[in-house]
Amino acid sequence: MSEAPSRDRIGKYPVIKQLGSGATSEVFLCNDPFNGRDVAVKVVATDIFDDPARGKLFKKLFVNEASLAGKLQHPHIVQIYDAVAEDRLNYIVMEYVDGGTLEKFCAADNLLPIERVVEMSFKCSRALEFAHRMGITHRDIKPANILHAGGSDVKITDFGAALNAAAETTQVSAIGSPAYMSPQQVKEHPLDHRTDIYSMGVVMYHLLTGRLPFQASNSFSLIYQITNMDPTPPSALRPEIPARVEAIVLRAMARDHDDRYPDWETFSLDLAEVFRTEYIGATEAEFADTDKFETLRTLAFFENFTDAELWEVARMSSWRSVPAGEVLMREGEPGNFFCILAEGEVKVTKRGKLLNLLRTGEAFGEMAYLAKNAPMRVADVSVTDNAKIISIPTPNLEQASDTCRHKFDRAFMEILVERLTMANIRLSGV
Amino acid sequence: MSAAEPTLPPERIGKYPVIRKLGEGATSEVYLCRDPFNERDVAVKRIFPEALREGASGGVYRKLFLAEASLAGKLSHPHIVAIYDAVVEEDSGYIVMEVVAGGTLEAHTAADNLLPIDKIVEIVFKCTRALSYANQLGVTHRDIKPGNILMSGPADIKVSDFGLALSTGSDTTQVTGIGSPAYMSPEQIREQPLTQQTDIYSLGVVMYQLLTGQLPYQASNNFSMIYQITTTDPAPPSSLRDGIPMSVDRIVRKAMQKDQARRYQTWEDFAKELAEAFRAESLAKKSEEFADSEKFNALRGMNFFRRFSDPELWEVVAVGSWEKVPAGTTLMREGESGDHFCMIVSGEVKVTKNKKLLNVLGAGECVGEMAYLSDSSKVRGASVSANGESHIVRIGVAELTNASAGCRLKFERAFIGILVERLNSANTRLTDA
Repeated sequence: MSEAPSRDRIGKYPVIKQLGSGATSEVFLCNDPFNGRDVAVKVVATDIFDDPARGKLFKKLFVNEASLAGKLQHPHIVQIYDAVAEDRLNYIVMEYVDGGTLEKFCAADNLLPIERVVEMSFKCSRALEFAHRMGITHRDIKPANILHAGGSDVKITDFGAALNAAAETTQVSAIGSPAYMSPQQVKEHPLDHRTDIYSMGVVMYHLLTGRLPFQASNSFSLIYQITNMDPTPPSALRPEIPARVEAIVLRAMARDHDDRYPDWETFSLDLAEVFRTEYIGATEAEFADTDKFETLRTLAFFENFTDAELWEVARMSSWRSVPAGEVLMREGEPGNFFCILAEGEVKVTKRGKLLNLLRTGEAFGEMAYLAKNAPMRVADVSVTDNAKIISIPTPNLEQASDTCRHKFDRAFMEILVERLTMANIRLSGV
Repeated sequence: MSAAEPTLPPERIGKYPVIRKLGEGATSEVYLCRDPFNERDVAVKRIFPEALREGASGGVYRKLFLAEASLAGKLSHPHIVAIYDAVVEEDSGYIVMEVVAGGTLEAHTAADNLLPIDKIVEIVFKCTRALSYANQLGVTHRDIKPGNILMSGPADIKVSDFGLALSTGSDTTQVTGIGSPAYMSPEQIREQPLTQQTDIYSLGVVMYQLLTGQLPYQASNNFSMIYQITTTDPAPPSSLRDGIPMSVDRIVRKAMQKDQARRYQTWEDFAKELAEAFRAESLAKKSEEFADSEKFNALRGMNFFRRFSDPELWEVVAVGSWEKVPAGTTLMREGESGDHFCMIVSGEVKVTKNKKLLNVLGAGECVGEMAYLSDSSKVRGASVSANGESHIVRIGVAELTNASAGCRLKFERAFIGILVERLNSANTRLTDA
């Protein structure tokens, strides 16, 4: 690779420009002419590939792991499209995310607001929970592996042990830095998802304070601290960090497995909870993604939706707090959206006559989506008790993924079957 | 790759390790390869560098090649060979495709190895529907011939090499003598602008050859062949093989009309007449089996499947189990647990509960769908039996969960439509009461 510093194509992919380079890899922005899209191609150059004894095996492992990681399809995980291991060239082809990594938010003079850090960490924790359920541990969580996709949106990259095994080795042997490694990783113990939880704790620490939890002039001192010392509490470095946020970081970074979060679920629940209690006022006008996601998860309507599908719903919907008395839908109006009641109570009336009272988790106005012909509202809907309303415009739903629409349809089918059964019972009683 | 001897198979083509060579044509060769990332075998068609350099000059040509392969790669249909990738470089170009195990239809163009007539009508029907689908997405094939139609089962086919004729220069080389212009339409020979009708003509020639074991025009050289294609009429297929019905003769003649105005105007017309010929001549009378074309057409005609695309409908054809049941046959029993629902293709069924008649359902209606609609009520609430002789399709709920997301989505939309209708009529009755 060194003999060709500037390349005009990598495999079949014409190079547009170089995006970055590390100790063992270079990343290029390329074009995929067949699929008509830009991609990021990471060329990995490591001695292991050339090892006469293990090189071939390692190449195979490299492609296998990329193939496995390629099965992760999630809005907060960088999609892997292809991986190639050839004689002199090994590379991974990925989704291109234009926005840099979280590294830039680790500088003390460029820190993010605390609630933004909590939001991003929440998204990471859910994405890593998703990967964990597919049997994949990341093993190299650090700001450089979390891409910034705008706002509080993130995408985690570089899943797979073999893909970064080379990097790990070089890091421990002092070229890189073990700063984000868990004590178990440093000690070369067998690893599970809890190593990623630890590293995520370090990432949070860094994003919150602009400093790594352990400062050392060499890797050996750093390794000693990781395995033996407690970090300075984040609030000592940034006083406005709430105690509960600090508690989350310290629990994620607990040296001992027994003191650390046992799973991503608990970690993410704490993040959502702290967001709700500490920052709900901070974003009065809009609902935060964390809040949307956690609310959706509690509603029966969405019980069969996967994480990836819930994020889709969060993105396509609009959320509003509505005071009692406000009219949401009027008879005779065209209906191009339906709603799900996240909190509070609404009533359905027709010419002043009460038809129905709806409570949390129930859908209304859905005939607009279900009926084939240009739908008109056939009743009024108004709020009786301060409500949180999730509105889903039907054109947005038509654009959603097949699997997401499928989940909506299943949910609506259950509702329709139930109503039909009720109607038939009443009919046979009449 | 470039260092490989021309006679030895290359070790790899692009990123794809070669397993073995599958075949070779005038302008390309095909290899069985492995795609390690996607964990599947693929067929890689490598275009000879000479063919790549022909025609339009370098850069323009390569762009065209890629644009066409990329467009053809968007075709996703059970009877079209999927294109996964295409690469074109300075001196090499290749297309990565789905592997199809059987050979091509060429094997069945020999007089001593002809297929039964009903099977030929089936195969050509599937080709017409696949080419219709491609046409709707803006893709014309331009090189329909038996060598481009692969056999993937007894009467199952996959059309290959879409849209590549132009850019791989194969029609040029054919006219100039390497290949044969036998399947080219008159307008193609005259180098006029081409539409879907050129493919209709070529498929007519393929059908002729499959039926008779002969090409419609015999010639000792290409110039004579070209003359005949543009000026003379072929002998009717029935004069060359016993048992070819008039209607099949007529279809071949109409597909092969020299004048585009007298040829089939659309694939739908062509497909429809094939299906009708099949039914009218009872080509498959001898067997109790339903032919795929019959299944497809029966479903295509139902209101329930109105919004299903062709590929989705073929999924239903594959997933359903088709039965002719005599009058009185019990199809479902009250109290049993239900793992499937039925579509009524023809005939009539009655729904009873405690021997009391609840409903009579006819062609195009579905029955027993609660098994699919509701996770909580799997037990049949009523019995269903055939009133007269009926054709029904049973669709297993478990099988349906393996269907594509798009296909399942269409089922759900169709059922939601039915539920909304029923709910509305129940509500009307309630308010009237």
